[in-house]
Amino acid sequence: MNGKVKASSNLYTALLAFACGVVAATAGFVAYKCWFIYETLFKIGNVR
Amino acid sequence: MSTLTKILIVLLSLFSLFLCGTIVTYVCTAKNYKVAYEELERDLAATREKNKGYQQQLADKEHQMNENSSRLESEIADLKAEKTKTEQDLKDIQLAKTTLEEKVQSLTSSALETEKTVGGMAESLKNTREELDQARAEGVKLSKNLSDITASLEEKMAQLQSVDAEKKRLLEEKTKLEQQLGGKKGAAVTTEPVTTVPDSAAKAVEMPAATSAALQGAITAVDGPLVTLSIGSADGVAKDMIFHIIRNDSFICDVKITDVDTETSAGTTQLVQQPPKVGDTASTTW
Repeated sequence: MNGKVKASSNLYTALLAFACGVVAATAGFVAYKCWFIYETLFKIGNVR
Repeated sequence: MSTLTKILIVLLSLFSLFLCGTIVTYVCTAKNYKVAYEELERDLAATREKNKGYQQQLADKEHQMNENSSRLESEIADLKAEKTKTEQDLKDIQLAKTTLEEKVQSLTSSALETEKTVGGMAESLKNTREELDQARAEGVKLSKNLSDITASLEEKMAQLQSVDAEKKRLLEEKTKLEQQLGGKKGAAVTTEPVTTVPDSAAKAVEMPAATSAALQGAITAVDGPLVTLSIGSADGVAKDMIFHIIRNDSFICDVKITDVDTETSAGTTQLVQQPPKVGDTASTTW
């Protein structure tokens, strides 16, 4: 591999970064919803 | 980077965007089951409280129903006992009624027999009264006969007295004549008759004449043995007259007149059968 960076590879990197950000935001949104609504992330909440 | 890698990168990005969009849409539109559960739990608690209240009311109502049923059962038992007692009383009363009806029948038959007996006794009483009336009439007739005989006896006695007086007078005249005869021979002594002819003979003669005329009056006053009549000398009443007192065709007594006034006369009772009363008829004849 050579260390030269091309503009076409930055576009796809940006695209991947954008997709990762969207996925991370989605995961964060879902975690936020689960925590503040059901007060749990990975388990099924207990019935009081 | 190869073309395939680029294509895969683009597809990965697109599918990632699609998947994230779908997930976000689902999470936003999903039903909040926790809130729903809490609401249902609250509703359940309220419903359970209501259920407890209803059960308490039900228990109270059941308790009241049991009390009412026990009270009604006791009342039913009392009413049944009272009904039994009333039926027994009714039987007793019916038995007493039967006994009383038998008594009434026996009393009715005895009353009918008594009525027949009383009728017979009334008939015999009537016959006895008729016989008594006949006996009284005969007694009155006999007393009248007795009074007539007494009057005739008195008349005869008066006549006898007059005859005796006449005899004495004749004897005195004989003595006088003898004396005159003796006086003619010697001295004439005149004597006067001492005796006089009594008036009783004349009265005895007058009495039948007076009684022959029928006099009728009524009693106006009664005072013991003294009776006052409504007729006097103006009607022909004389002393010693005998009036027969009659009431409802029955003889009461005789009244011998002792005092005579112009309009009234009074006398004493004789042969009293019943006490005389004001209004009774007085007559010299029957």
